[in-house]
Amino acid sequence: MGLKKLGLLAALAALGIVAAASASTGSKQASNALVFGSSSDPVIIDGPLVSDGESLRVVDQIFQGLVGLKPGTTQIQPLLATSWTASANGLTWTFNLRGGVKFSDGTPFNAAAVCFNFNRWYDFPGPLQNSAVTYYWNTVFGGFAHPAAGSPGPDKSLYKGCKTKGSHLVQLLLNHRSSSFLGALALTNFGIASPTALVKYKADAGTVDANGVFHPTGTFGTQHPIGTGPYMLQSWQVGNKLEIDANPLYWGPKAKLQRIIFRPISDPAAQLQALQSGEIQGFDNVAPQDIATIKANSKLKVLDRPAFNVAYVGINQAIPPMNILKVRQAIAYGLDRATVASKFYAGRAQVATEFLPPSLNGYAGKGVPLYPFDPNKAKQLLQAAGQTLPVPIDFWYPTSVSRPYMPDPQRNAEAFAASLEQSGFKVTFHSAPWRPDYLAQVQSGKAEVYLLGWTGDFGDPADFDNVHFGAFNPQFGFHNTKLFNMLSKADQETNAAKRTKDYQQAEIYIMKFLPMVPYVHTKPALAFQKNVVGYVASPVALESFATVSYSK
Amino acid sequence: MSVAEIEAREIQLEAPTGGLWADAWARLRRNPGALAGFFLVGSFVVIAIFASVMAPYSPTHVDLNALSANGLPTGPSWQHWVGVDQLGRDEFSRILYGARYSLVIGLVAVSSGLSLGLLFGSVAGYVGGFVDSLIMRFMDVMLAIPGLLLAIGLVAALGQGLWQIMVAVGITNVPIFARLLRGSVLAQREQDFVLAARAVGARRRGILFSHILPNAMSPVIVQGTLAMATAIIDVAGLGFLGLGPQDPGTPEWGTMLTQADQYLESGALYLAVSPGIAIVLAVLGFNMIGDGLREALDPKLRGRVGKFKEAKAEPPDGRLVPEVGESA
Repeated sequence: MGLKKLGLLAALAALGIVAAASASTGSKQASNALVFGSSSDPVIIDGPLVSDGESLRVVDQIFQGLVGLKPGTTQIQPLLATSWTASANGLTWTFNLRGGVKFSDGTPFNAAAVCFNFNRWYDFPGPLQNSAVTYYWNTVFGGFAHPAAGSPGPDKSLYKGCKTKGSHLVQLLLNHRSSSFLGALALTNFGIASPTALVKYKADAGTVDANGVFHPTGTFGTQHPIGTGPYMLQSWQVGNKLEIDANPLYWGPKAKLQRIIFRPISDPAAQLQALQSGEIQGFDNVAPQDIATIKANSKLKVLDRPAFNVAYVGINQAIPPMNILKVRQAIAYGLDRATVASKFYAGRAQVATEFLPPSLNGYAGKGVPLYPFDPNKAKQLLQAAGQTLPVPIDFWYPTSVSRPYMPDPQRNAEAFAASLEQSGFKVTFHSAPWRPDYLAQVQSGKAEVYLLGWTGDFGDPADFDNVHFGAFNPQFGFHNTKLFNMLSKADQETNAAKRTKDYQQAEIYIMKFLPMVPYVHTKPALAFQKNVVGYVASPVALESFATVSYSK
Repeated sequence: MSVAEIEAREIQLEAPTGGLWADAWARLRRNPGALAGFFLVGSFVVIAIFASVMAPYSPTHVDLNALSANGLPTGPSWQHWVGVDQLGRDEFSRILYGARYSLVIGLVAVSSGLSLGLLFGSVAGYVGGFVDSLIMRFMDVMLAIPGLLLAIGLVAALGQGLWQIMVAVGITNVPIFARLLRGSVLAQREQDFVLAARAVGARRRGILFSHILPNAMSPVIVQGTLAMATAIIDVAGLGFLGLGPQDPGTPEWGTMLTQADQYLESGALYLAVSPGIAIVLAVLGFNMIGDGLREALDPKLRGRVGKFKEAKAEPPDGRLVPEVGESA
């Protein structure tokens, strides 16, 4: 082949590329894909069966609930329901459903589908009633229709039943009044799934192991999660990538990007490198020490997320000697929270003195015991509790993950262990990968003292306090009827001022009772390539990718 | 040089000497590489033993106030010669203590691997037949799995911890020693002196332990030294992959290396470089000794210390091997 011919071929090839490129821009960026660096794979893509942010990040793109949150805020807005009313006694809620909505498998969304989902959750079989599996149903709705031994029954349940009134009108019946009910419905966990797909792909089939990890035998949550959201699952290779494609049947404005690819990268340094090299277009939970580096790079940008979280050192009272209040107080005095907050979060955190973040109604502000770092006081308390020093404790922390409230769990764990060892404790470390072991083991009550945290899901104190301490929770291992009653009374209160006051009292009581020691509220950050637009950072750390686009 | 000439020279060079070990030592002394290796390993051992005396700080003393205002590790200063790590611990003290972990883990792992390998190898080599096949096929299976991969699998199965690492690295060494020793024993078994011992009615076990094994040991010693180097790398590798000691605060070099990577972006290069240098020096030391010993203990060179000089001027670098090695 002569040189000329070769040249001609090359020119043709170049033309072809240009044509292809213009075709793709011509069809409104339809073939564009964005790669987002997630910190780990989802546990499973099925809302009611997860409680961690990385699972919810994906679930949120695929499923929608009756109500949702206005982007960037914690205000409730209509989603699959266009309007709703509550009866005077607060026990019957009537929802008008959006018409013309289809699941991504083509089946229609209607009142029957809503009732099917609620009844699925209420009727979960025994193994799935494990609070490590169905954390949110357990903490928000509190009971199951057919409780297995040890599970809460219908008497504990907020949910009573579901009635269809025609094809697009549905009534949810409650057993008692709840001020946070609507907020709870905004949870991504309670997104409505296609009943056909739930049955066809056996969503509830599987076993739960001793660590509280669900091993599905069906394929709903791994291959066929069918919802009404702007995206639908394309493929998922665990450890490699998870791809979601725009849902052609979506009822609302179509997603701007055809495909979003989630690449799990657990190491913060590797995430940053991937962003710098252009391998990914964005990632969440930027390590505080890297923020300056990103801001200095003209091609990258940082998005701040409002502080709406708490990081805490959890204490499991089911494991002695943690049932002794003085021992828990010794832990509180033995944690050097001020130094950790000031040194490890690069000025993006404040020391937590109570469980609720300061921006939320019900934050007490004063009257809470503060527990400043005091090793001698801690030792005295341990001796007063009749313990021989040093007191051995098992300290758990997650590996291969970074959370908004905990950019580097191991570093936090080591720093706290050092201050605890000064305070009369002997620390033995336990670590487990975040997915799926750590959460399951902590939530099923295996961990004595552990690092965890919480990002609020909606703007209500119930989402923090009631979700954690409103009923028996194996993670904390205590039965404190006084606290349970305080919180359920606060949640049922309809007078806003009284309700705030009730929660303030509960906050003070919680800090005296010490089911955990909160240590920091952080202002998390996301990092993106500068040309990515339309991502609205939300306080609840769940954002839709449907509005995101970027120019090459 | 013709074969006859070489043989003539061998005979001419054969002379009364101080025995295998004295000869070896004499040769080692003249090998600068080996001497440097001895120096490195010597310092390594001294540091490991006296770490508690030499280190200015406790390796696990967390001091968050030593970090910068942003919570970043700070570099070398008068208080901290190699800077501090992400928790304000003195990096220099941690490097010193790290020698202790590497040495102890390496020694235990290699000696346990060596003992088991010795047992399997000598039994296989001396008994032969079905036993030989059985043992060696099993060793082949183990050898078929790459050493570090096998160690990773073992640690994953046994759980994290110092003992588990020792066991894992030790087990990966077993087939190497077994194979080596079997070969060595097989070669010795057919030697005339063994035949002579058998002829006078010595017992099998006696022949194995007092005649064959001592003569088969020199390659094992060489391999043992080299295995120390590999073991140190394996231990650091396990640590780097997050399979180090269960307490993440343990000053183990590989673990330190892997923890440094989050702070490279923010300029704490020394956190990765310093354990890296420590690993390189320790491994280099053992390798140099191993190479020196290999040359020194080579039976083909036996008796060539005194006379060789007269027969031919010693090469300037003091190594005696090349010429004979090439023609042999």
